[in-house]
Amino acid sequence: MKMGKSKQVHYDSGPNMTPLVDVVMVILIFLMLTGTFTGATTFLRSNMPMSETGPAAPGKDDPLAKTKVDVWIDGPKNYRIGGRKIQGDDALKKALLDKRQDYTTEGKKDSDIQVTIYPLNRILYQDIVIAYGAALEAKFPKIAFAKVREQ
Amino acid sequence: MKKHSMPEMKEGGVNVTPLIDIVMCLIIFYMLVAKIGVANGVDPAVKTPPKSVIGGDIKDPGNVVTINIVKQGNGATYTALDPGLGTLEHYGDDRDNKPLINLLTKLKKNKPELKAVIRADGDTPYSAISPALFACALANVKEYNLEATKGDPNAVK
Repeated sequence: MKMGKSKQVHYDSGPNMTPLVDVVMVILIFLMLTGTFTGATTFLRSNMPMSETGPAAPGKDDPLAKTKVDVWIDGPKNYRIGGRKIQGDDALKKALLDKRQDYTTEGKKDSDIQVTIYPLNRILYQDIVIAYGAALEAKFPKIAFAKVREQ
Repeated sequence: MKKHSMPEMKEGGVNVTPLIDIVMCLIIFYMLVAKIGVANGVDPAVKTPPKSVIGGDIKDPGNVVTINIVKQGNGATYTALDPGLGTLEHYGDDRDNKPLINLLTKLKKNKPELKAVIRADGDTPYSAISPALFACALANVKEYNLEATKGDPNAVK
């Protein structure tokens, strides 16, 4: 028996994909080179730009805090909490974490605790970010800045 | 008995169908994720300091106004994007923050959930930053974010 027909070779003659691939590759490379992503930045968030000593007095929905934590920034890595001097970023972080722990143990409400950061006028943004980040890391919910009146 | 079998297929080159599938997926991904030609109010000249430990992303960028604090000698000027204009404009400086207060008040009327992002170079003094914070407070913009770059904070020292 002859089976000659099934042995025939068929060539697939679909649309030519080469120009499509060329164009698509160009678009892909363009998008990869020009696209910007938000991944490089991080945001330290708070909900109180200035303390009650500034012009933004707390409104009715924001009652005055009963417990105040005043963090003074006297210089890079030089801080004070209350009257206690603190040297170094890690020491500040630990001091704030300890304070937070104490307040939690004492059963104080988050809404009653107010952290106010007092940077001197010459203090740089990079040092402010460190102190502010330490307060956020200690999970203080209300953090504000205050203007120090210097002579 | 007659046997039926599939005819043998031969193609002229490499099968590019999987390549096109993958490339198309990548293009759609980049088109959705990449921000090209979208003004977000960020002044690229302002380099924020690194912060590694804590921080997050902004969930609703549509409700955000970015305030760039651009150092000028001992002081600073403020630039921000008014969505109505579509370009970065100057809104006062550290001695006169009224233009910034006016902008924030106007934006706050249209967007009650308005948030501010404060951007400044790492070596900008607080005396230049505090008027911008006061402006947020006076315009009743309660939530603000200090922007930092992901990285090692000790690298700038």
